[in-house]
Amino acid sequence: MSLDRRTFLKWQAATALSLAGSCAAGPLSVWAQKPPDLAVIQGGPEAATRAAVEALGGMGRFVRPGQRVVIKPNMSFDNPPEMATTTHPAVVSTLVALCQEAGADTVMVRDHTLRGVEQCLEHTGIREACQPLSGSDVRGVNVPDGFAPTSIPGATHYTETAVMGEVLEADVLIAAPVAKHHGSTGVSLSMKGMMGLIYNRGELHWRYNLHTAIADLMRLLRADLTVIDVTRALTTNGPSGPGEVKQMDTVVASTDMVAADAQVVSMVPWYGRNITPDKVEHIRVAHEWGLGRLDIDNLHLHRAAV
Amino acid sequence: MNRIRRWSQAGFLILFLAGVALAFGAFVPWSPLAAFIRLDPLLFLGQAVTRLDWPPGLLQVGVLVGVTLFLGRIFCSHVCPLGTTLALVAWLTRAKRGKRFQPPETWRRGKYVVLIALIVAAFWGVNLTHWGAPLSLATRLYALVVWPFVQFVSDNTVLPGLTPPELVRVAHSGALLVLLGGILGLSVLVPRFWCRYLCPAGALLAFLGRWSLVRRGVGEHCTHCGRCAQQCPVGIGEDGAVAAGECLNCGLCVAQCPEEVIGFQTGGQQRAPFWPRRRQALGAALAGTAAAFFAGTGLWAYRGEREKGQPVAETLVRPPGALPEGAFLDRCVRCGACLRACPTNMLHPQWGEQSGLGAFAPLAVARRGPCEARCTACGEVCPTGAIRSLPLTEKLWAKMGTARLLPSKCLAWEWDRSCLVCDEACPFGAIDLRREPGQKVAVPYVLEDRCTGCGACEHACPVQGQAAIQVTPMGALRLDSGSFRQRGRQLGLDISRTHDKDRALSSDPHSAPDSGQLPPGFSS
Repeated sequence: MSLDRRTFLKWQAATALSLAGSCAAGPLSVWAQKPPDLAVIQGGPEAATRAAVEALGGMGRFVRPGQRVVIKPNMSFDNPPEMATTTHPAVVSTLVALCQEAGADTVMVRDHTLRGVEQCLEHTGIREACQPLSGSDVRGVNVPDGFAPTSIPGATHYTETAVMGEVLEADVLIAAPVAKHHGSTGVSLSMKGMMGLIYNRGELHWRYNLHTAIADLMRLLRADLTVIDVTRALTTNGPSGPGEVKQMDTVVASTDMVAADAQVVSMVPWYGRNITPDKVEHIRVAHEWGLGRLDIDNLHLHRAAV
Repeated sequence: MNRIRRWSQAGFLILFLAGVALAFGAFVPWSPLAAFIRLDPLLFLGQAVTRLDWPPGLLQVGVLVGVTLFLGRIFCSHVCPLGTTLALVAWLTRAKRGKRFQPPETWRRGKYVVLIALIVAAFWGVNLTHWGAPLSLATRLYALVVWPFVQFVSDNTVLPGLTPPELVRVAHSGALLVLLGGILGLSVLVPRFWCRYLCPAGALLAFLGRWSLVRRGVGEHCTHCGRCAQQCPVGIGEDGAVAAGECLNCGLCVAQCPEEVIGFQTGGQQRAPFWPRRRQALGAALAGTAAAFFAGTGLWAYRGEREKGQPVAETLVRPPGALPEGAFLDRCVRCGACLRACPTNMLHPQWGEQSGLGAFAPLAVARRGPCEARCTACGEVCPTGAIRSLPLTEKLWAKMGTARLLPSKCLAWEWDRSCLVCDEACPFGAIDLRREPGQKVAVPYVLEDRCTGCGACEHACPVQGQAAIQVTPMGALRLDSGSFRQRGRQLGLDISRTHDKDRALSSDPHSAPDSGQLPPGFSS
């Protein structure tokens, strides 16, 4: 299964390259320009999400007709959206709609929830928000049956884990976390969020080094598109809250999980302070390993308001 | 008559099984299980005698007494789910040839002996009626043995997905199996052995039934062919006569009689009822006293809080809203309805932790599952009010205990590992992560006033084996009346799903260091 996914990723990278190549050679159009590395859009959850994906080249760049998509929001807690411990329902439902508009065959919203599945689906508002979109499929998977043992290519210590089977079979993976503080990893954004697609999270705390393991997990679960909900941010006492919630009205999107996370770290006042991305160990490690870039100042950033 | 009986038995058994099936999570309000359990006259009597008050179920038991005085032990033959189960067992294992073992008639006194022993124990303040009450036994059988077994089989064979995703497990299933297997097994040897010779609720109804208006009568033209005796579930004699109170008024014999002389009418003649001899009755009373003594006085038996010389068992965490321990043990009829209803499989039957006093009573085992903050199922399904049925706002304040951190096991305290799973899991913000001098990572503290003892932390703790954070009964709120919320506030508790931000920040000054040090989780 993992082989399928890896093969697919390679294939996709090749397609993206050739697509980019053909675009560059083609006549003048909006797409002739190289899309930005990062999109930072101010606005309401739905409008900003749409604009952020649009700025990166539109959902059609990531999702082709007939493909199977997994969207991984944070819906691990049975808290209401105001607490900023889970992704804003409108951000998730907008992503589902965009995937459907791009012709996706199946759009699965998945998380291995920390609290009871039913409670989480109900109280985060995510299931309700997605309900009007026919064909959307919002579920929590907490039982071992839903996960398949998989090796993590290139990892040195954290070399294998059981990953949600539907993710391994999917064509496209979209990370859609909320911006929040995390007491043991600094922040919980797209990279940390991938722990919601594996079964045994406990061993990351006791068997492995949590920070390097999160970076290693990214080798296997690298999102094709990352859309971070910074409409409001939990700046203290994360990941479960209750803590201070700061209204930010922003959505950040990138094809680079590390860059997206680094951007959010740098723009949110954690505990009222400016903290640079290199203070988050898993981001720093991922950058050092070349899995993404935290030097956001050197990246092409598209900023807009809608 | 037989058709009516069969329909009645089938109907009540199906209703009962539906009750067991529905007593789960969100379906609890529709489950007839609690109403069913309240039908048991012995459970009612046991609670009434132990507590000297009127337990819930007066209406049901009143109707049952009325019906019994009119129609005899019709409950045993038409309604009782355990009786129907035992009849089914006897039917499925019926011998093709030859006669089964027929115990001496005097064994029928056995059920009175059991009844007297249980009532005497209740007089001493120790309610042990659940050991023999048929509705308790039936619920325990179906909810704690049959259902997990069916789930186990379906999960591992043909029907995965039909049952809840995680297999229900029940502590001390061996003890349950011995008790219930014994009762079922005896029914294979002798049909309805339990109902004839042992069932104390049957004894109670037999005692009333001897005066019943409608009785079995045999006409003058009886040829003593013995066909009725072959069919009779309670083993009447070859002569076709039956002792008062022993007949279940099932009517099987009526259809069998070639002379058509058997009938149920008012004032039918029956033989003298069975009653234990004086020595047997005295022996039973003594046995009840001894049982009460042994159950109620062991070192780990604890009655009320902080009585001299009676330590509180460390693991004795009860479901939220459980009455104060003494009253709880009197009221709890060990039916297992709450164990069935608990959606996280947190509740498990207790065994010898309290000298047998608490046997089969529900214990909250956090390592198995946390108490869902939004669930009130156990209280709703409890037929006796041993666990109070509370609205959600009250239930949150029904503190089950307090989490205690064991730093020597903790990944953050002892192993310098980045871990905050307890904090993450806690729905009440009762775990505070602080930077401590000499500690490489932020370490957890329990804010006791916010902790409800739900065990989400203990359940989620990634430490192998026993968790590094465990719920203890310390600080549990056990109120038999009044508002948990009000009392909790008086005691300075601060239980909330959404702490307002000022308090959340002010109460954990260590987590936001003002100078130099980074907030928890960041590293330089």
